[in-house]
Amino acid sequence: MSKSDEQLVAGALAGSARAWRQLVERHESRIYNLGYRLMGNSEDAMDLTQEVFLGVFRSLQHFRGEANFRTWLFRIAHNKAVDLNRKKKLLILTGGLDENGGYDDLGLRARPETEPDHDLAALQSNRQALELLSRVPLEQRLVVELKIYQSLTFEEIAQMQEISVNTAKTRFYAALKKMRFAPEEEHALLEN
Amino acid sequence: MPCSRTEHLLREYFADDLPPVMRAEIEQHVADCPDCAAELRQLHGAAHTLGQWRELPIPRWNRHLALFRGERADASQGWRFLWQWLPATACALMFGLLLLNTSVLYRAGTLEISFGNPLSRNADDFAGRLAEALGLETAADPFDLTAERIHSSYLAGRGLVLEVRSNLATANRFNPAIPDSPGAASLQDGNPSAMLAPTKLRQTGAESDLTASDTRRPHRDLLLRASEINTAELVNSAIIEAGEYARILRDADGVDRENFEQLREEIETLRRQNLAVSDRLRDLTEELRRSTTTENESFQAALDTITGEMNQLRSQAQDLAADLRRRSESAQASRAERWRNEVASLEQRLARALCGQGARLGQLPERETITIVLTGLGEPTPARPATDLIHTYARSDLIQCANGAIDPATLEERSNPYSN
Repeated sequence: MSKSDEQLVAGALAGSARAWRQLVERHESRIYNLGYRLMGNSEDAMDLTQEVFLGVFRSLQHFRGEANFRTWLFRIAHNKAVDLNRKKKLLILTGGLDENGGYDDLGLRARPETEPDHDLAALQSNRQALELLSRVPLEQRLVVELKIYQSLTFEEIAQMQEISVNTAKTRFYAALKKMRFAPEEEHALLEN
Repeated sequence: MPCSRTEHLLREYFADDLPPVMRAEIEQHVADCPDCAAELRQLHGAAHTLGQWRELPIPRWNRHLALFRGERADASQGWRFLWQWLPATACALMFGLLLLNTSVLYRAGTLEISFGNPLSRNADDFAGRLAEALGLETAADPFDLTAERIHSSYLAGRGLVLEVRSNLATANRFNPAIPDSPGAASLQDGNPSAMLAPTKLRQTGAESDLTASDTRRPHRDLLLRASEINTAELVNSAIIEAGEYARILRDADGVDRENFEQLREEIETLRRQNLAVSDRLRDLTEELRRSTTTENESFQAALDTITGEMNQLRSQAQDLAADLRRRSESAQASRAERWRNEVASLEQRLARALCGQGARLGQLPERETITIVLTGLGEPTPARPATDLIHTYARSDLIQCANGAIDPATLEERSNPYSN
């Protein structure tokens, strides 16, 4: 029977590298995909993943088990994403990045012919999702991420973002409004 | 026409704990409302597309295992066995020292141990010295968002970015805007000069056209004149403007407290006089309507007096408003000028401070730059009232300035400042 997150945290705190490895392996893919959707490219997603788990490692002793480990992990991911986004903005300001900050750089353009069909389908659906996510600012993207992909409640999201529940709902609705398809796009999608 | 309930209903539609009754109500409304139905379909479409995300495999990485083993592994071993791990501990310690960029220095008789990336560390230290040199009033509490501060970030490959938050950014330099045309000024809720707002005038009964019954009255001509001379609303508008300009004048430091109080009194007196004379005109109008005599000399004289007083009040109020408008525009221009001078002075102090401290950034790679973002100190544009002022200094220029090869003014000139 697999150990719970809390047991693995306790094991890692006791010095078990195995427990630490299991804990990371259990959540790394989720965080990497979260990073991909938030930052829009694999490099930043990987940076974020490393930063998140470094943050987990540094504050592991502060995890008291009062909150769910996943929620605690998302809180760290949330804060790291905000930090990383801020750094990217500064990079854009100093001319180190183009205006979109590397968002939507799926690396798909160079590779499609080499990918098996099912991967292509996955890449296509991911590209569509990224295209929608790229339409909204990070603060709204974070709400969408936590609501749609991580199934958090608006109350949990509000606590994480230190905003009111109503603001969280408004951000979510505003984001969806910006991401909805125009009627002609809807039509084109149906045809495809 | 779009449904006015769409936003509220659909925002609630996605709530976690939507009561069944409310869900049913929303669904009923959506069924009856084509706008909401279309909007909901599109929102669902977006949510569906997002839900199609396929998990991407994560590239191989080390999972911070080396770090973990270096810092935590075997922490549970008893102290009795510690000696067995002495060599490994020493290795882990060395590794940890390397990993954490720990530096140990023996300087001036004291041992200094510090952690972190030396460039980031120096950047923080540099930011602190710069804040001191600029005379910023920094707060010990890092969460005190109102305090002046410099936030440093080191971006590998780009250089050092220092965000300077000065109180100058919050100085009320260009606001509030001077109203464009007479009558455009309006008082907002919570306006500190709300006491300057004139009381809403009571209906005088003379401001509207004569009624059909009035045309048959004996003092028809006087009633007609009474309806034409009423300038109470004009005086009222001028008083509102005068109050608004007085506030602008005060906010732009164009008047001291005592003189502002005098202005307030003057405007208040005008307001009271306007109210009194418009009341008298109303009473006279009523009297004219009720009067059945044909004698009208006393009415004529009373109307002449009221007309004279109203004209005088109008010219007083309009002159005062025009004078205060001129003074407030001039005070705002002076204030903006002073603000620009203060920003320029800050920029000069910044250049001098950078010259003095620049040598500390010797570790910065040759091609990296130092970007200083003066938050909120850029030139405002109609679209963006608050912009940042950005200076970018080449490392070589800083070193030259530190060595005395160029002066701070040249350093500032080479930083090519721009607003963004």
